[in-house]
Amino acid sequence: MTLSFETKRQLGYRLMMAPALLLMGAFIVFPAFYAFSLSLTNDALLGFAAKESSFVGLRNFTRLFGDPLFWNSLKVTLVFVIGSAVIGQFVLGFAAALCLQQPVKYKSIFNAIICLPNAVPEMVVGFLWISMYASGEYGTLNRIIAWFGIAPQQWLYTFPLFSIIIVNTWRGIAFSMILLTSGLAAIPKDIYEAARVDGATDKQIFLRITLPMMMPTIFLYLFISTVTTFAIFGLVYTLSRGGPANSTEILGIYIYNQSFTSFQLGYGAAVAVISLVVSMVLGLVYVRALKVEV
Amino acid sequence: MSLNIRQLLAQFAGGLLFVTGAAVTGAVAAETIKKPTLIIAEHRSARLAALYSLEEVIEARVGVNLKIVEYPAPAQDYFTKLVTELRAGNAPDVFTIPRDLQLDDLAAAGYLADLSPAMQAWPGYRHLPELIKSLAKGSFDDRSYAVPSIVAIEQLYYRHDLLEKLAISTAQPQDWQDLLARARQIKTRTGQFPLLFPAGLTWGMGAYTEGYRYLLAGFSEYKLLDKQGRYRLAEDAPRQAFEFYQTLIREDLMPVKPLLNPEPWVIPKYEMFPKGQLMITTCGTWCRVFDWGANSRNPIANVEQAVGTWKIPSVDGSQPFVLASMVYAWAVNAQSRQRPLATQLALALGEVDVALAYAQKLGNVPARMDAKQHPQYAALGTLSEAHQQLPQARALRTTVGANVIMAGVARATEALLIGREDAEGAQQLLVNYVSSVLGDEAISKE
Repeated sequence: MTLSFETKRQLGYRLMMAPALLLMGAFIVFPAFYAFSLSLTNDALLGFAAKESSFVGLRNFTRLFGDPLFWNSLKVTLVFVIGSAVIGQFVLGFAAALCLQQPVKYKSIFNAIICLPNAVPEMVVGFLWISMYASGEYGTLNRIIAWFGIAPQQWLYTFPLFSIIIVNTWRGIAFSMILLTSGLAAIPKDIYEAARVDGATDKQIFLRITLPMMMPTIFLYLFISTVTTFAIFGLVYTLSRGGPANSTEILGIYIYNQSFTSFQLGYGAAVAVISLVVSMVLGLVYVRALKVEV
Repeated sequence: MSLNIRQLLAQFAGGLLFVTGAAVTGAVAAETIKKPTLIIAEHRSARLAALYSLEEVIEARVGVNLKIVEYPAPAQDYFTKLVTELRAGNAPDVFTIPRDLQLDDLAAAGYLADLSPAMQAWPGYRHLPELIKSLAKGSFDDRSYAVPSIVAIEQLYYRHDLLEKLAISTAQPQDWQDLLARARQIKTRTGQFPLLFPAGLTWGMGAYTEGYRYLLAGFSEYKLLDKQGRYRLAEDAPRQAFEFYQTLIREDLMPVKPLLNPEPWVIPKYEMFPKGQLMITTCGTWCRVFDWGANSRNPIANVEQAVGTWKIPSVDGSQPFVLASMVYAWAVNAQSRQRPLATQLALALGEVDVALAYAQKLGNVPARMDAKQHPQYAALGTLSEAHQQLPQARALRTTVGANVIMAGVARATEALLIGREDAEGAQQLLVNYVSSVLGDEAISKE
């Protein structure tokens, strides 16, 4: 039997996709299903349940919906995502991308400076900012404000969530800038030239040409950054471990605390399942309602 | 080339020496290779230093090679890593259990080897106080799961030097009201925080072990467990203990803000207490070494005299007491492929010389009472006074689920710290949390 050209081509595509699918199946799909099955048990790392766990149905989910710490964690996560990914990284990254479209001297140096934070591992960023935010007179930020006669602050205590939003914004600008720069580069230059010939102002060009033509890229960026920021763990764990008073306990930290500090795997898995569902819903909103092409 | 007789003899002797040396070295190497290797987990620089100093002695005593694996220093990180490895089946042969109240949860999970027969046959066993023997056993099956080595004696530590200067009584407070009156007096006279009982989520298990437990143990008639091994959390004593916290918080007698920090012990214990901004704190024998000793971050000059101790006052004025905690007892991995040897190693680590080396470096006391006869005992210095208190010490027995109790107390005290709940609400929060995790049947209805 000889295969047609089209069949061979389709087979080739499938073969090329197979390694990626296999890896996704092993490290994403299977763990997700395993987490769901775990969430229906009282499995734990300590106590009798660690030796022999039993099926508890939806008990973990019932408990979860009645737990004020879970709702707090969800709220903190949403504020963190909106503050750092949607507002911080996007606005600053877009501004940087627009600026670097202009003929700026030493553009490559600015590019490198903006990209540097993204090259530093998450945990290292955490430790770096611990030193920035350190309380007492030796913290870097406290030294800076001391020049203006302001008393030392306990940054991570007084402005905990805002402080971690700043760090994540700082770290994520590079990705946002790179993606949005590629979007800007794809807008044909002759449209701008035509607009200028017609006497359009800079503001009009931005609002009527740049922004509408950038929308697909912007939504793609927002989709990616929302989902990845939702899954952040190391950065916040290093900086605050979720404190003070749970004010920075994003879902990733809450899941870790339940699974590996309180050692309740079943409950931790239930929170992880809910976290996955929330991420998927957000993803669907972007894909369906905002027509993001992925 | 010609050699005379003397040169020949010298060369022959040299050759002989070389061959003998090589044979001996080979034999020693072969011996080393033949010895089985046991993996032992240890963490924190002071404990590691103690173990490394004893490594050769222990190897010779048990006839094994030791492979010491260094674990993360923070207690919670150490425990998390250990538990995940035990679950995964790749944990070391021998390890320590940081606190006695973690033993039940580990044993119930099937992670710990039953050491009962070996412990009964071990000569050191009869030198352990009854309290320590009981803490080394599983509450649910009465089997021994750990070899006790050192014990922390816990009570109240206060700034003797500063209180004397202020002419405030340094006499032993007899009950809670007495302690509160002293605290109010300090607050009025100095404006500083008088008292610290650890609390809150970020202090973790310490909210229970170094705070709430002190208060619960102050009820002479109260036991945390009923006869069926259920937790008695819905009774008066737990609520009154939360009320004590509530009083401290509402009257500003305890620092609250620092307890909400990621490392809540740093500011009150390592900064405020040495500076005299905090006068009384709960602590164990280790505090005079680690927290304020000569090599600590903020040492208190002449710490032995400057910092005094009070026994923990009871709620009703009955005899004040000290708490004893079996800390870092040695346990054997139930899945160890060399369990008999690992058991021998754990018992060797329970010997007095090992306990004394650890106790001196960590500021704890040996678990065994025959340590007094050891020539190195004198090196304990003032710790020997704490050792004498061991037979009369109290402990609050827990059972499986102690980890949940500790997490629940951390949540409940956090709610008090941030003013979200009053004492009654905090108690309800604890009860609800424990029932939701362990089931309603874990709470006593008596």
